Amino acid sequence: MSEDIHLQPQSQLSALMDGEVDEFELRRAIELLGADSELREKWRRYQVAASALHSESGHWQVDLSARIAAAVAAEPAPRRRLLTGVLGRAAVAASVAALTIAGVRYWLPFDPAEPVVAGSAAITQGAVAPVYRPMVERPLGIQLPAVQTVAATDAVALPIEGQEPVVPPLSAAQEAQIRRYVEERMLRHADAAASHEGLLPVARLPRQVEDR
Amino acid sequence: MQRADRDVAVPLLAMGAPRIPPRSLPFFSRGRRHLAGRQLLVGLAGLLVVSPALPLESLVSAERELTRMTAAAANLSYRGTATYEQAGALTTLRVVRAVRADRILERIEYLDGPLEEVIREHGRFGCAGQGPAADLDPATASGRAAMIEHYQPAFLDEARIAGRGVVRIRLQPRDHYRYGHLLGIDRQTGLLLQALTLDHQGRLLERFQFADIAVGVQIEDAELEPQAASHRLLRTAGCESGAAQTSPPGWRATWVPPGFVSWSAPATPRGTEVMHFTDGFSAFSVFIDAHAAAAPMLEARRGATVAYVRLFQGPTDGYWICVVGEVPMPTARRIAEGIEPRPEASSTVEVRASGGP
Repeated sequence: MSEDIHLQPQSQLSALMDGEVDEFELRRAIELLGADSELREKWRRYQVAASALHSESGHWQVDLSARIAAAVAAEPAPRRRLLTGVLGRAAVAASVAALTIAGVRYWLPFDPAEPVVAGSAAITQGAVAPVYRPMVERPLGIQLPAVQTVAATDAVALPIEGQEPVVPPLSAAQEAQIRRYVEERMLRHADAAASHEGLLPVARLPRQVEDR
Repeated sequence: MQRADRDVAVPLLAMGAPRIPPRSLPFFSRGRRHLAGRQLLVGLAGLLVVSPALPLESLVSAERELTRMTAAAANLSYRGTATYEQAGALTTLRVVRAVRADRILERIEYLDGPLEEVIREHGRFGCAGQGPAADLDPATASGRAAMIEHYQPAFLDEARIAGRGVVRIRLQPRDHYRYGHLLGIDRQTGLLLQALTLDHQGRLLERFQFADIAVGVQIEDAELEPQAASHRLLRTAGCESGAAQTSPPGWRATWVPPGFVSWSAPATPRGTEVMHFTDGFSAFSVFIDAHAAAAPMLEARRGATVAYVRLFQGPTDGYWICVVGEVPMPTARRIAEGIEPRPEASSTVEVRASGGP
């Protein structure tokens, strides 16, 4: 509230977190954050705490539409679509329904003799062909713990014993790439199904977003 | 087991797949023949053998309703408004369907969000140029039996949808590899007015139902014309080429749930290998992309559609294997784990799948 905002930076931060600032206060808060590294760190912690709170609900859903649309718009060439029509220029977007991505497991080069190092996720095809093992499972993005767990019978997905999982953060670009990938595959699946009879496959088609 | 064959079609739910290989499934085929009484009896006999636990009345009723849907698929023009819900989002569609002498035309317009529509055209008698004879392919006779093998139909209740009385049929999967369905079939016409997809705990994953419908109406050609600048033109994928390709040359699925058969997509973009499978009610697709970067293994979900992505590490290169479909996640995972290069084709894999997502 505006009363709080004049008390002290922490209060301002709280108000900012709650979205209870007007435009002027927002600008002031941003100025404060920009000038004060300690405050910035606090802000970050608040965000993490908020994320943790959020994740207590046990599931995570995010409306990807805006981000997907932006990501797709930024793509150099339109994907070739399965079907004719004005499809090429259309963006892939989850404008209809939230896409829940859960249980992302990072694949890291696996060498039992060496501890896995954060950052080794920059997996490239080296001279020695790496063996990839899923290290940990973690949702995409910073907000949540894994939702989906994998049955113990699923040997491929078992974490490596005796090693602390090290999870390199996904870059925004990687994250966008993964989401785009999933979106695009869902679209193509629905597209193929919708080329035949039945209304459900058509209803399931992710909606296009106009590209201007 | 001999049963009434390929007479049940679910025009709203099933995809209808003219390209399905000979072991075609009835829920994917265009229902255009009426079920003869004798066939019905044979069908019921088979059903009873499969499901001795269900009350006879329930089975008969379910069977009768499913059969009525067949005729509706082939013969009815209609105009209506339908809603589709999944993952907390609601979409509204206007559907116009016109049955002409030789073909079926549909225009499906989304009433919310971006201005879009889907125009579809199906041959009424199967593949163009082949005529009804294509329907009589004896190889398709096992379709119905296959369906009953994997779903147990039962009468649920009577309800009211779009202001009309419906009979509701539950299709309970006989295994855990696929989702269940609940179908609301119009008492008067046999049209499918409601279709729900449910998981094994009975949770609703998606709901399609009409809000309003006028059946048996005259549809003018103008109503079928595209009106939006952005429309998808979908034609029933053809019969122009021969048998469906069972899988891409470079890869194979070592495991799919029983009852799923492959059918080919109209086209495959370069750089990705694709396989499509269906059991008549549910479908999934497999995509294989060559990808230089290591992939995170991931699971994603939207409504009834799931995606499971894993990495296949070859000696020199990596591939992303992605299974997408309306199947439970463990099914998608198991399918994905079973995708592997064909041994004899391993040398060509690199060439064939050379793109990325």
